[in-house]
Amino acid sequence: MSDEPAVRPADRRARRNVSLALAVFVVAAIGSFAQLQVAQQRVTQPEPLGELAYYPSGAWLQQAALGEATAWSDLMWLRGVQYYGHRRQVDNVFTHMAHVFDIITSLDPAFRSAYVFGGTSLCQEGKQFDAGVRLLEKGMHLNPGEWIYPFQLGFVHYVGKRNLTRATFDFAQAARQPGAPAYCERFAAWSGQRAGYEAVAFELWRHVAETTDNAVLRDKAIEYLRRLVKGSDQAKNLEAWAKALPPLEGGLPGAPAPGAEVTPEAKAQDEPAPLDATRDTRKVSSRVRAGRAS
Amino acid sequence: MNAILAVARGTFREAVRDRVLFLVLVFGGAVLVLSRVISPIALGEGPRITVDLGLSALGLIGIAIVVLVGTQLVHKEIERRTIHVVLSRPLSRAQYLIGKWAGLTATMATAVAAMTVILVAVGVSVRGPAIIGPIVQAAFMIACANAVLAALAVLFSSLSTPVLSVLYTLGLYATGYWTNDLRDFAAQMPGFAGDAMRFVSYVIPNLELFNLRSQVAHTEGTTLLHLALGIGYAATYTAAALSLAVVAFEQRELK
Repeated sequence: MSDEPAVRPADRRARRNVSLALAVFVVAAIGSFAQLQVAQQRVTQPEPLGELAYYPSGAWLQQAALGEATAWSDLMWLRGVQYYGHRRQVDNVFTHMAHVFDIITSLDPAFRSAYVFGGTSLCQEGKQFDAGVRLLEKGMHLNPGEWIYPFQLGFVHYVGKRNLTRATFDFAQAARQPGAPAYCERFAAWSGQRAGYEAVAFELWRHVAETTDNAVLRDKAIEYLRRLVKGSDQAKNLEAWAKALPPLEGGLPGAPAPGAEVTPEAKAQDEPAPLDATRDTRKVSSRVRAGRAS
Repeated sequence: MNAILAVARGTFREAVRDRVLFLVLVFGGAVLVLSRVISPIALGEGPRITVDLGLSALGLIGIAIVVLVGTQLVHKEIERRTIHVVLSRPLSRAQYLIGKWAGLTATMATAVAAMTVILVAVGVSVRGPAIIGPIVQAAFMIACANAVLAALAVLFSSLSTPVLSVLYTLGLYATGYWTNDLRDFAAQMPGFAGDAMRFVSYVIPNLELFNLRSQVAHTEGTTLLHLALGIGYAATYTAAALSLAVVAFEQRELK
């Protein structure tokens, strides 16, 4: 006779049930994983972030946010940045970007980065100049007294459309706002005096690179600066100056890593508008001439 | 006063025993960690997102405590019949209800205060000391708003079942942010409909008065007058809601 206590039938049944349940779990988990793999390969995937087109207006969302409009604007900002990064990687066509940034700024009408980044990106690589201007004008309308919005309007009119008259007006308006930095007046004067287009454009992009908190906007500014000094003896100094800029946190989700392959369509679309035929790179910034960041 | 404090202490202890505060802190900590994780993809807006989402988590945790704990407070004791034991002591029904509200509010306020300390520490590390004032002000106003909702939860709990109490409290929480819009609608409506809607807009708690999240996002505080009006409104609204709860509870026959 064995010393081991006899196992009760109820305990035996319970153990059998547990073993059976574990076996079913393993089979079901493997089955669901395998089906998901097949589905991802065979089933047509919806356009990534295509749902952005169906987002209701920001004014409606503000009511639905139940006091959490600011947090929703943050989440929408992350979604907008994700969309921007994805489209930049694929084809540089930003169909829903104006809508997304309109929602963000309706949820938080004082979200400065959304106006600045959204407005600049729409006007430049988005090739939706009117939408970008509308976004910046919305910022100006909802935040009267803030110098940054008229300044950015002047910026996009200057570098995007070369509309010096309008740019002069906007820079001057920015200079009149309380707390406006001295360079607003300086840009208004340069623009008004029709100073060399490229020299002023250079100063504007340098200003963006030195003041923005946005890593993508800074990269964009440096890229434009490179194009402005291409072929001149300032190119080397520009690289030294760019390296000396303090590092910024983060990048673009979905954007290619430095040196990675970008699709040919995106590359073709990313080419900026040709610069003025009358190149004038003599008046480059003294900081860049010296190869150091401010 | 001692009787009210005894009920409040009991309610607070029960919530702590149910690990409400522990779960709240785990959830709040997880949200803060998550918000830091996503900050590198926020294109320079990471610090803002960390503070904003932390503040939202803080508000929602307060609401969760009020709704999940508050709406069962009285009903649970009636179901278990422990209310007979409690009310057989020298304790009026009014004292019992006020004590329940005080205990619930203390639980919520403790959770909000703990989360605020964590959020301030994180906020200072990412946005500097200028954020301390706005976060503390916003958290204080959130606690005031939740105290109002706690009074409503106690009112509904003394009148109705837990499920219906949850629905009523959440309904008032949602519409509480639309009271200004209701008044705008009322201005567009002619005659009695407009008057009725205007009346409703004043009956529903105006939770937008307590909302300072947008100011915090831009590192701005509010005025002392705003804070004083918020405290005053919360105190008077809570007193009104608890008075109604006492009237209803006094009429109620406890089997």
